[in-house]
Amino acid sequence: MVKKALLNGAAEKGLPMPFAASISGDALASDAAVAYREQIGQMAMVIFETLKALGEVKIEKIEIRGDRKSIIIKLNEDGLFGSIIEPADDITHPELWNLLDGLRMKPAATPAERRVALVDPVVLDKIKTILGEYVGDFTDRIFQNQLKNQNIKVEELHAEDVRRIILALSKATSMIVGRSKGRELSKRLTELVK
Amino acid sequence: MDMLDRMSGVIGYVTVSADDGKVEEVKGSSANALSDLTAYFSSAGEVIRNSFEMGALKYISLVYGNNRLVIVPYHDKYLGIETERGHDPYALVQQLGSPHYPAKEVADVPRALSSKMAQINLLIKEFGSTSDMGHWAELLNQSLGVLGRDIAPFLAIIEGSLVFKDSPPPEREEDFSKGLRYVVDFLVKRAVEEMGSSQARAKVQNVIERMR
Repeated sequence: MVKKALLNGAAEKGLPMPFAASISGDALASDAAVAYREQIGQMAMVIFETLKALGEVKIEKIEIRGDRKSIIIKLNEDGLFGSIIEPADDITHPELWNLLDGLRMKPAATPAERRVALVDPVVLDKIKTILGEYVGDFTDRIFQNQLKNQNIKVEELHAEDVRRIILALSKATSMIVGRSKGRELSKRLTELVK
Repeated sequence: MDMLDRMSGVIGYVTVSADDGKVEEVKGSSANALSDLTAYFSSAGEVIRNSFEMGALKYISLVYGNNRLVIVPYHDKYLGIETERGHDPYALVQQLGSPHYPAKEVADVPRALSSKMAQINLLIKEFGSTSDMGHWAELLNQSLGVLGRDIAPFLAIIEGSLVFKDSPPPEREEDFSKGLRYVVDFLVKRAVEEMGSSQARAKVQNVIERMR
């Protein structure tokens, strides 16, 4: 879990009331946000449960804006970081998002660790070949569109990205050639990466 | 919610009842699960707003992939409006509340693109004339979401016709041309599958004649 000093440091740099919560449910408030510690825990639980129910969409940022306060949240695979802004301005200044972006749950992976965590992009070629059996001439277009839509970087491919692209391609195929074909594609691609 | 059909940068939208979370309307060419996202996050957002005593909810914004969903309370509903990631949610909410909206300039569309657009609209009318027009409009919508996602924010289907709601950037004319060509190819291919090649060919020929 992240250290409180990290959150207090972000507060000193100008991030209002920073907080963090891990996916396991541990919540941590900076000194400035300590009055909201209980609410932060509840909020994290609501957000993680909602994300679990939704499944396929990878939400990266959330902003909830009320007329008295607003909350900005950045999500990653381990949990979330956020900031409570009071009173709420009309817009969220980009530098607040930049400060949130700078917060990390754990130290950045070394280049060697990063390489181990990556998936061989060859799997994408295999996926594309199978996709071609369903959507023919539209294969390239659909494949590229979905990579872009899901914000997937081929040179930094993770297992989670592969799962997301399979879901996205199956859905796109359903829209183009029908649901049963989309389901069949999803089954074949899931088998492929098992 | 016809004003959203004409609103700049909107890819798709849904309306969800604030009482029971029931989805009332889904429009546009989004390939994402807008209904579920809007229903779940409007409810989660209300819980968080109450817990933190945030005052009246102005909007909830979610960023995922290349897109953004802005959830806005609107009378007794929530609107879930999908845009491209870089779209400013505050500006979108301001537009919704503006009494002057949707008055705006007519899109300036290069001749080659307006001709391609006319071809698509004629194909829809021609293919739909012997079957269900709604079915072909829906196929158009889906093909835009899947094959024309990068150009979809500039387009809308209004009263069954595809229109430009914004002028395409001149430097992206080739992207638009390519995207619309994919849509045409898809519609023709689908017509061949559904009505056989001779009938589909005759209908495509009718469209060519009408465009001369």
